[in-house]
Amino acid sequence: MSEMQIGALILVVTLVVLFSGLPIAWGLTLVSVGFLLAFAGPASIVNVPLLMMDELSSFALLTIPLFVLLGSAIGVSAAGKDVYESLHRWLDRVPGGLVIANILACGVFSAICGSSPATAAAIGKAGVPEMIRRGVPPALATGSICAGGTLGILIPPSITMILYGLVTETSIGRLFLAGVIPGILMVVLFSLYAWAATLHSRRTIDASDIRHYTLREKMEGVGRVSPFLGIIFAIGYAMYGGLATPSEVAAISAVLALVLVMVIYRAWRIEQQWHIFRETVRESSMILMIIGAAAVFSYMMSLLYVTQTAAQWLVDLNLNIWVLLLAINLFLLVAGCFLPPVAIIVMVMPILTPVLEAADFDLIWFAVILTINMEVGLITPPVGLNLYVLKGVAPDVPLMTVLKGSFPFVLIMFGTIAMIALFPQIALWLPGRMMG
Amino acid sequence: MSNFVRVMDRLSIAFAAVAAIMLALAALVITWSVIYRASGGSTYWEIEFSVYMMVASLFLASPYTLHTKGHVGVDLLTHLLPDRMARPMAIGIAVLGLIICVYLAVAGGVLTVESFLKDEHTESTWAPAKWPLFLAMPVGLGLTALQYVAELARMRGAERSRP
Repeated sequence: MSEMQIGALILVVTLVVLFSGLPIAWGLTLVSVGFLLAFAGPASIVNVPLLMMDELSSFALLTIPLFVLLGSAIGVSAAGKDVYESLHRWLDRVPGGLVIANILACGVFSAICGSSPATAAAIGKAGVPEMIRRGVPPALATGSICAGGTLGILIPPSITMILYGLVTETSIGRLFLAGVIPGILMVVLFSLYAWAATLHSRRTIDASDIRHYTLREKMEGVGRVSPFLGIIFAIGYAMYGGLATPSEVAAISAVLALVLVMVIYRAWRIEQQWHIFRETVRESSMILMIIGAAAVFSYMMSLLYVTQTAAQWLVDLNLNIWVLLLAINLFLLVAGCFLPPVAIIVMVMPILTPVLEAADFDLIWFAVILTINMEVGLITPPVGLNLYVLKGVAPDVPLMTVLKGSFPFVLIMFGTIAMIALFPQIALWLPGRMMG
Repeated sequence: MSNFVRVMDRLSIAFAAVAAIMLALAALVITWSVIYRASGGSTYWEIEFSVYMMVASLFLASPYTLHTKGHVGVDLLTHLLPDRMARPMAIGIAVLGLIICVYLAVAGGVLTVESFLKDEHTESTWAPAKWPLFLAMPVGLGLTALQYVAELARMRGAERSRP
């Protein structure tokens, strides 16, 4: 069999195995060991456990569980509710303020938490019931949270960007900065849409119930939330000032967040701490297990010369860069609908990186394009994680309504991808400006 | 429910708690090392220690992750198959998961024993032995395999109790 044929076979088998419901980490191990045995002989699998351990025993990888810890400390606390509530109080006079408060709250929360479902859950828990109670159409209410939550992986810190940085050996600091302006742009576009959609359905919203808040009331939540915003500046200062590596920054901010959650939200009881930590080890174990298995998968792909052949084939097609970009985007979109971002990055980037480099694409810029594609996957069936989160916070709203509500936001995301493709400076200006 | 299933569930939670403590330790040690370094001290064991903690934590939390359905999978095929196929499919997947965990636990065990016999150490100033790092793999995945047995027993129990 030629390398291309083996590659095609691997693709088909991997898809069947991954779609069977077998956990992704085991699925990747199974496919890798199976193909190694079949095409490279029994001697080739001797190194499997060592490959996993070598991949996992890296200091840089600590960034992942520690940022997950940071996110779950803040996610489990009532910080999400406070962010939402205070923005809501400040925006009480703006048309569509209720929905815009939600989107902004998602944006702010994204900046202290690197996970998309965690953002949707934290803001959605408080936001969705409140919006529906005030007569915001359920589609708009749930769609805005679903989409707003995805900002979690675009606005730094972002678990997706960290993983991308580790796999492609690009600077995590640069990647974080590249997500800032596109993230803000998306918050603005989402809010504009929410404003327009609310004007459209104004009649249904109960105006008599809208109360105005005094400055004192407005300041209440700000006081509790601002220490967390302080963490963001601490992260930025330490990381871009070159004081500490990403893992160190992650550790310090996780410890700070735990202390703040204990002091401000009085989460010092052992059950509350257990809640935070069990979520953390559970999610970290899942992500890191996939990373370990993916190391074996890329070893197999490279030993059988599939990675090199596939990359070379893509380079030799000599596609026009726009066609190439479109093809990659379509591929990422489809893959993103079926697989979680972590699996896509660890499996696909080893093949795509040389192709992107050959086409002179900037890897930092591409990270932003990839992340927005992954965001779309998070809010589309069949495995949109955020959709399940919404099912949890608003069990009465049918899935179809959530999907209908998310659709306009998906279109905005496509628009953003197009803008960033046409004007790479949207992503690259800030990292260039701050890191040279 | 059998005693075995109950014991396994408890054990998984206990190991998740150990994993949590290890991760917390890693976070604290790194934080401390940054402060210590900033105040002029030099650090040598902190980085490796925290890596050891993280690796142990991720493997020891694996049975709990399985128990709480945290090891993400995509069950697209199950939805495409007729309903009566869902159960055999779920059992098949659990058996496959069990086999893979046993394989990885055994392979990891061999790696650990070899490393112990060769007396391997890392190439740093601190130079700790490597086998405790590797040991996390057979222990964590061995327990995950046992947790799979418990999940299978649970599925069987659910079938029996059906009218």
